[in-house]
Amino acid sequence: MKKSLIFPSILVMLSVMAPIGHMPAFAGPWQWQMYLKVETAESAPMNRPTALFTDKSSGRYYVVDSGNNRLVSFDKDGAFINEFNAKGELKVPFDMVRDANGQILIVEKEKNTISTIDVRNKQFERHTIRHNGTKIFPDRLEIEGNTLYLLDKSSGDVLEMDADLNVKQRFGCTNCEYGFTDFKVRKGVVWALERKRKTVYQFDKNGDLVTEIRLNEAIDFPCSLAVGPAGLIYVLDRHQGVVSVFDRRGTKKYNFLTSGHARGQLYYPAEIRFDSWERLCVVEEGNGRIQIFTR
Amino acid sequence: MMKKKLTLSLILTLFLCLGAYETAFSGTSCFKSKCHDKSAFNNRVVHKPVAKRECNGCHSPHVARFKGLLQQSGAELCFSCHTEEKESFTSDVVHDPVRQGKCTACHDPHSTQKAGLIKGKLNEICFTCHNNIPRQFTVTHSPFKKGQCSTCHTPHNAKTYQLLRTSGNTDEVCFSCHKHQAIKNGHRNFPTEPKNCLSCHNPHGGNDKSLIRKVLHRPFKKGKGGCGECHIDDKPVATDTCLRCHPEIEKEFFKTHSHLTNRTGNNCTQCHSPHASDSTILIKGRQDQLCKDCHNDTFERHKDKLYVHPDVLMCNSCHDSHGSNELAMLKGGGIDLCSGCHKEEGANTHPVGENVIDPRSGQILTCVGCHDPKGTNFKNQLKASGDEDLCKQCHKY
Repeated sequence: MKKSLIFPSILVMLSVMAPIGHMPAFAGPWQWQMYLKVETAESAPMNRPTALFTDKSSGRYYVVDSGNNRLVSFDKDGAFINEFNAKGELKVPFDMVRDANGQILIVEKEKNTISTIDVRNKQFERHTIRHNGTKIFPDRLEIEGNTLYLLDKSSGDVLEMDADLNVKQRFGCTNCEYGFTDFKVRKGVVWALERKRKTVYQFDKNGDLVTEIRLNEAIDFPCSLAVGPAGLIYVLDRHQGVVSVFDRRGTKKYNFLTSGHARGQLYYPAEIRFDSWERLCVVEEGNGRIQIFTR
Repeated sequence: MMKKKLTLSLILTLFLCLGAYETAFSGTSCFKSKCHDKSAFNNRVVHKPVAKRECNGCHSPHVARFKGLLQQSGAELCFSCHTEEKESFTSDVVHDPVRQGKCTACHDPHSTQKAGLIKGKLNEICFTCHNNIPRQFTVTHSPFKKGQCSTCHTPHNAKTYQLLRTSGNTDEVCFSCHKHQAIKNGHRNFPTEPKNCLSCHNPHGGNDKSLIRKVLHRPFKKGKGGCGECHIDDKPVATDTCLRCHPEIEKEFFKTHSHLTNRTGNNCTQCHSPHASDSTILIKGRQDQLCKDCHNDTFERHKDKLYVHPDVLMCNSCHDSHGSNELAMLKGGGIDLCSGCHKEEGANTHPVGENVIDPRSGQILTCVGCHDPKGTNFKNQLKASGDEDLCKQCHKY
């Protein structure tokens, strides 16, 4: 008798608490964990953040706060640590990575450069990238080991760069009209997302195309992807404010999150990625925050 | 036993007679009573149920929920017989009246002089909605002149936004009349195989027999001598070539979001015609159609909303077409941009701006915190009901 009462009581409790925002948002098998937000009196709230980078060695998150021309760091538990704008030098930063030597590489949209910051020696340098005489428009950055990859917005190709920021190898699709809109690198494999055909391309280390995964039509405006530890593909839909999860055949497994401004809702999200601790992070340009989910 | 059989057959006969009487009654009685003029239903093409005098196939003689004593509303009634059409009219780009279930916008449900129960002269029906298309040009394309819209367009649904009779490539329509050799002869100095006809030619008419669009790109206007300004041998023309003469545009791409997305070699020709256009900025077609090519989801999401922003088809009123640091590539932030037109609301509004934090997101509250400018089902394009629901999202009690 007691058992039979417990379940309905939980249901009643859930239905009472959920609308008033006390419940963590349930999101498929994912549960809302925390925000990365700047909520101190001394620092401005984030404005149109566009990218997230996690540094396992230091246990830090770095957020590219594009609208405030700065980088913001948080600890693993989401506590705000610091902000950095290279003495006001940063101009519309868009994405960043940190290499094994601690050097920060940033895409600065306004300058159309990859800018390097040597924190120890306090050196800031901008690099305009060209390949075969053509100007490169840096967009997204990824780093794995010592290998830097960048997405060229103009050609839509992913470029593997050498240590001197010269193009070493191209990852492109011959059958897509618009090129890639985002990519991730996992264990040497490049996963790239094409928006118009709603297709994910998988390349091996040599730049050879391994698979082409056509996502079903349920997705409107895919803007970013992440590949989970179990091999599932997480695609962020910027216009629907939804994360759609697909298997390797492109079959949709489930959707989670919705459009809006409250917890567990997304407004103009910009990037999805797994952090160094396999938590799922969504960068929300529209709501000026990062939402982090755990299983 | 014999008696029982007789009774049964009598009852059956009575039912059959009554049934026949009912069928005959349903059609003829409508006209017999002289309420409905029979001659109005006797045109050259008569809808099958009308011809069979089956008025009650669509109408209920005594009482009904829908105007005209119809048994169902709009297209639902038509689709109860035209089942194949119901299925096929949902794919690809669907003509607005079809999507809205307004079959009778073009078709007469009883009888007409035209095949397909078309209400009148085809082009006149088209022009009732498409009244922004000039009816005459100095040189008018022959099918357009004859009012034969359906030579190129299909009225229900198609693969293209112009509802062209094609499997996707708009050139197919042109090539169905204009033969390959004739096209080649007309483009003698063209560096590549002529294609994408609509980017230079107006299919309805023009100022001369080439039907070339009225605004010409400066090098193209120079004629043969101008080609070399952009074309070197038969190499594709790269984006850099365009930016050589239009350097101010390059900086517009140095933004968080830009339309720099075309791996085929030239980002500009995705939207602009390098030769001729009907617009002064040489864009390839009607603005909303051009944007729809990539942003169809946005149009689909808002097209049937009850409250829609009036200039929603003029995308560049609010959006920057090359690049912007704002969300959705807007021309400005959520307050300045809106109050540029909505001055009254901008001055007397719910507190917004730098000192007002949206408790839902911790961001500065702007107009788009409550409104979805493209359109919603709530008055004033509010994101939820303005009576209570929307306010309670922030003002909890």
